[in-house]
Amino acid sequence: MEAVHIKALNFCYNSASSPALTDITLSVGAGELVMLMGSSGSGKTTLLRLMKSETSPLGRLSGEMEISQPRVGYLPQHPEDGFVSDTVRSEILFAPENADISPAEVRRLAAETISRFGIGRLLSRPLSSLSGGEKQLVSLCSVMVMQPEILLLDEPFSRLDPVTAESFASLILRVNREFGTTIIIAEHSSDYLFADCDRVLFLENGRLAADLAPRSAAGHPALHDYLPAAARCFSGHTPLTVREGREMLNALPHAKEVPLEKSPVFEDVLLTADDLRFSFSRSGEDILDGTSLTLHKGEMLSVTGANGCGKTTLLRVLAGLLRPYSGRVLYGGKPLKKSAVKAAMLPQEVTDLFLQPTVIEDYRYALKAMGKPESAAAVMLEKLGCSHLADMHPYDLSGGEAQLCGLGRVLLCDPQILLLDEPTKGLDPVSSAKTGRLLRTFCDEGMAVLTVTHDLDFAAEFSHTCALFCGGRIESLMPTPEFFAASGFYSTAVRRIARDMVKNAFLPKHLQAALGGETDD
Amino acid sequence: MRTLHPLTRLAAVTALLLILMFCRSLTAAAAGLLGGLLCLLLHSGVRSFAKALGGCLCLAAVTAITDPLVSHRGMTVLLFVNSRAYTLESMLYGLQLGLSLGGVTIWLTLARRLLNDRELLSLFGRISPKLALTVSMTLGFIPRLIKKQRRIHEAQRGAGLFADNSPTTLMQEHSAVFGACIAWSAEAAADAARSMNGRGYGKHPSVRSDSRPLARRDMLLILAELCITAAAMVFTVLGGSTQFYPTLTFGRSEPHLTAACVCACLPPVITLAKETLQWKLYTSKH
Repeated sequence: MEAVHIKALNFCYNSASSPALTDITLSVGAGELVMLMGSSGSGKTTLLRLMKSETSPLGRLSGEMEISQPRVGYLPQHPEDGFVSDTVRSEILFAPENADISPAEVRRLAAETISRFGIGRLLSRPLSSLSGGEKQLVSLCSVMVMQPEILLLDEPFSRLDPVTAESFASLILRVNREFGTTIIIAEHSSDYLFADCDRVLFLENGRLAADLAPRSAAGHPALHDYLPAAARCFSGHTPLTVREGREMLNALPHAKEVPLEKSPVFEDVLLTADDLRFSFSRSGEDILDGTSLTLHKGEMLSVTGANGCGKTTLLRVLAGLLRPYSGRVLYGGKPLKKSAVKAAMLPQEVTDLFLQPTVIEDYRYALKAMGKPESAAAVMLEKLGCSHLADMHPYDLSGGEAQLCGLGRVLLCDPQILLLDEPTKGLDPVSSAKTGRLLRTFCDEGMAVLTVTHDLDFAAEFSHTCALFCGGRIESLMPTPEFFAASGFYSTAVRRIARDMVKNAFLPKHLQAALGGETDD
Repeated sequence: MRTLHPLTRLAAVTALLLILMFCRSLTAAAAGLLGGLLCLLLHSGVRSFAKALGGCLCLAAVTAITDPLVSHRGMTVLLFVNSRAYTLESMLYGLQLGLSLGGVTIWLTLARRLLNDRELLSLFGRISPKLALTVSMTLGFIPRLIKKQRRIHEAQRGAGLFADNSPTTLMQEHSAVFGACIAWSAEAAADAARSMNGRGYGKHPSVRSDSRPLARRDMLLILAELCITAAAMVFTVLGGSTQFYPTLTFGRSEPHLTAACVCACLPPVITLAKETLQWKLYTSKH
């Protein structure tokens, strides 16, 4: 039985000159789990929103679209965007209370959902006090309460750390397997659910470039950058999970060790944090509990850690936006106010950086406020390759575009230290790699970059130095090769595949070298 | 006061708000304020009580000191400011105004703490579901807007703005942040509307699933609060107001009005005191 049938669908936003979707033809069977992949701006969100008639964007639509099952649930990319209440209880009850059913039935539906998804302990909590993972869970429950036959999810893992994302992925899989719900999930990352889904749809510039089973999709050239690490390591074979990757590696002849890459030596210290202690209230828990770190000129340091462990707070303290109650931060050996070394911070929500209606106006406004020539605005956009985005509203930019324009806005104040909060959040693998290369260019020019991220592959690929932040402390600050070579559970997928079999391997190129093949580089 | 029906809680708070807003009595205003502070102490603890007390005293002091600067009526001249009389009566009138304002603020604070958004929705949803939802969403939206304003401000500081301390620059920057907040509000409102549509809002009449029935005790308390409020209004008409000019004279019915105000405070104070005792005596100690 078909749940979704789409034939020759075209869609163009009212304000756009080119179509967002062109000639889309696809069919999704009832109970299927389908992954919709593609780069930022390829039309994934538009297609999902068109499947839910109440949230359809405004524009010119042609072609056929039939949704055979009446109850469709949609989870937006940012759960906060979908919240309409203050507390978890109100949020869960909102849909059933507006569905023309009796109060007793409303209570039964809510009680079932609360019990099945185990959110009883969250019920009276304000939505604003929830962690990222809890917000996703509540958002899912507020949709699942109506027991939808089709569930549409828009990048549910983009804001979650690996551990929370894994547990959310298993929850989605359970919804599909146990309730028979048809699930269409738009996602950049193939780390979760790729191996478990029934089909992979790949959108490229608004066109459907591939509609294949996951194992066949692994061999499709357009999907190469989007594949799980296991599939990228073994040319000619298609392992999709860490387990399959380990079995494959075990079966193939391989070197027992790859040489550990030599780490560059940095000398000039630009930023020193010494025994920082920070808490939001006197009686509250210490978010920073004796944090110390050193950042050098030309160095890119990545601090990884779970959601809510205090990474952003550390960055805010380092940027001088919060004051620790003990310890000190020195910029080039001096306190912030006396130092000539400038630091700038890219926040997690990059749209917070924009005060004006277009990107170029915002750059000009910031330059004027900082007493700098406004002509630098166009130069910066040119440098980042974003000149075509100059006249766009910051809220209309895609994730990758917003991240780049935000980076440009931060760079306008000529910082020697760049502090970045989750710079790859919501980016597709291609944009993420582009950001990484750009940051390395800045380091080569003498800038020091500190990023906090839970994107371990990004940290492994582009950082000179890595650290794990846990319990308010930096637990291991060391060169990236040593950091990942020594890591166990909290590591890249390649490291987990190669554990005990290929020493020092933590990137696909390492495993390819161990297998004697050519690397992607 | 969770043992009482939300309507009873609302009735208790509304009675006090009406008395404080419509009765111009120094003693009734003081009684209403003290009752509110006592409720706050019992409900939220010493810290909230001390904060509210400090705020109310400051407010009363400000109105008492500033009122004689604009109103020069009264017989007891304390001093002259710019050749104009600064009178004791005008000061007392300002004090009464401050006490009333402080009392109203405290009872409004209590209303927000005693009634959550679900209960407010369930109470006002019967009269106008759309209005109730708008009020509830607005109440929830204000803290989000404040949080967003702080976040944008911090993002700008982190990206080089707000470094200049000149008042004009700061004002320009703050107005730009405010403009960005308004733009975000419009986006957030559109997202909320889309989400509401997506979840079936507006297709059918809304129901309130967690409404609870009125118990006999609740009905009696609501009736008592209604009677007390009506009596207070009657006492006000019969001379319950304090006369400040030309000299301070307490109204003929002012003791009755004050007694009515104290009576209106009693149900919430007794209920909260009983609950506090219950929590101290009956709950298991670990």
